[in-house]
Amino acid sequence: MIPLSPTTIGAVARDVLKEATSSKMMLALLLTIGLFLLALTLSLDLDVVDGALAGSRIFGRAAGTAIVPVDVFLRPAFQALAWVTFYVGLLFGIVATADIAPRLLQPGRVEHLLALPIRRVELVIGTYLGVCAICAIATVFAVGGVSLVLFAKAKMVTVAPAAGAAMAFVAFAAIYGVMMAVGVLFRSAALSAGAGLLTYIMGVAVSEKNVMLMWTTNKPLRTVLEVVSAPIPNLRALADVGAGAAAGEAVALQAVLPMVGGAAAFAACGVLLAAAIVQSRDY
Amino acid sequence: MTADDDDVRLCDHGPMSAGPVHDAVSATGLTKRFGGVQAVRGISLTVPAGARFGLIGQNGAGKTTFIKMMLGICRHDEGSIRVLGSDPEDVSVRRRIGYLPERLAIPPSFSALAFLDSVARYKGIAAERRRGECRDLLQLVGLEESAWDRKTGGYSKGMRQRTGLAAALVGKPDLLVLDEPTDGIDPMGRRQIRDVILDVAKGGATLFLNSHLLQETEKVCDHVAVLHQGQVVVAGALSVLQRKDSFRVAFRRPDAAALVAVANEQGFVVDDSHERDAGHHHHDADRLVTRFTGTDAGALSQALARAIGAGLVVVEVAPELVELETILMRSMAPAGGAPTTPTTTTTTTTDGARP
Repeated sequence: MIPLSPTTIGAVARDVLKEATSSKMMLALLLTIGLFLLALTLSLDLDVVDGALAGSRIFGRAAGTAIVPVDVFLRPAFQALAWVTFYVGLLFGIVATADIAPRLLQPGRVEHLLALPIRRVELVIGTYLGVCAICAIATVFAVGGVSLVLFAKAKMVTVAPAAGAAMAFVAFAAIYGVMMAVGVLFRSAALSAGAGLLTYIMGVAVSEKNVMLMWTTNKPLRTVLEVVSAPIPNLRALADVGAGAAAGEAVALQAVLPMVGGAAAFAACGVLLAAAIVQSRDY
Repeated sequence: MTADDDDVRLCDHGPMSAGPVHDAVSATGLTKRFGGVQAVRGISLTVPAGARFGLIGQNGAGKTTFIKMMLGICRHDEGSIRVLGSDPEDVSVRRRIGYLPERLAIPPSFSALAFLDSVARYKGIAAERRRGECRDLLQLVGLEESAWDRKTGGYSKGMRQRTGLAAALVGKPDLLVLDEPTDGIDPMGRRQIRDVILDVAKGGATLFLNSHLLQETEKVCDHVAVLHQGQVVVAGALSVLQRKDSFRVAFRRPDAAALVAVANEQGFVVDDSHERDAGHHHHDADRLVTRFTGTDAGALSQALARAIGAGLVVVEVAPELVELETILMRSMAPAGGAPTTPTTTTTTTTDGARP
């Protein structure tokens, strides 16, 4: 067992985060979220009386006439926000972070890093955690912003947007494990992004595994489909859980925990594979 | 003193040294193959602690591969290597090593100060000391202060190289490994960098230099090794490798016409190589450059006394040295091959090992 230094891992994650905050993709992401929040702030007008919505306008148009509790009124919006955060945010995250691991291993950079008191495993784990921290910061920025706007407009405090975003974070953490393994294997941002997108598509498609299995009676093909899809996190199920929670539905922990655990195990396998690749390589 | 004591010497210098240290680098029978290419073929090499060591050789000779194996960046197939007495992958040893790669890629969004701070953090330097040390090092390598907080993405090659050198010096390393440190730096800057490197070496650190600039290696290093086709072909102290068994003696005599004859009578041979090398005649007006073969100072003194007695005036006496370029060319020549430059002699060094 290799003794790992949390300080070193933290320092690697810190550098990854520091570098990413200067990248154009990250700035574009944060700017997009900021513009969305600004538009929401300026366009949304809610008249709330004792927790009930007496009137609402979006871009100056009335959005409903019935007097309903404000949290009930906003449920569909939260649900939509959760889905957008999940599906669009994931895609953006895949593209924005694809070059981080290959960039660390570029010639002239990796030699310098490996000559420092950093174990290769620490470099991999630190990079993974740094990327996850980037994702967490973007998520917190978006969710925190929406929550602040709602608090200002409706004096409403809710964790609903956070529940949806949490599922998106879990999904990204799983996908980035694969992206990292492919990224360090080929030292290519394009292949890393490709692996991320493939996992994303397979993760969505895996929820329809039974439908796909019905397409064929060929036993070897069915076996291949079963085996290949077995470890892939069911992204659609995660998205539905997040959207349901955002809409105020009760979360069945006994159903959610295995999904989250499976995604975490999938991510851990990706990181371990990446660590094994970096550990075995000459640079 | 035991045999082991020879191997482990007490070292009273070195910025981070405490107690006994081993040779800075000790490699035995190192081999490395990349696919079908045998990059390193059994390198055995020792770099004494505190030495200023230069590794020279053609492109593809295995120099960078050896450095990478020395730093644990690349693993060897066979043999063994110890750096500062430990395995190259030992993290505690790497804290004591400063390394400047040949083409360092600094994150372009980092400023020089941020980059050095990051290196200092990895080396475990306390937060309160970090900023001061980083600023001192950037000043030492001559990076303008106005650039310290600017992103390195906008730096010139020379500025990046200076930043890289400063990063290699973080934590006062015991072993400083520099791969082409003056690459991209102007002549004035080269001199400044050379002075910095020499100052660091004077502080007790071992210097391991890989440079294509032989003059630079000659000026900085006191030990060299020549790699050729993945093997060490020559290694040793530069003073020994460069020594010829002869002295260069220059005379003057008012009667120039008889100069050569008188010098020959006293055992001094007119130095043709000097004539060819310098591109002028061997005696300009009344000055004659000769060679006295032998290392016996007594015999030289007697010959000089006879020459003086015969009316010659001695204007220069100096031991003859072989240029590093000559050592390199000669060491790479096929066995039994003729010397490759006109200034070479048939003199062989005494302890400059030629495996």
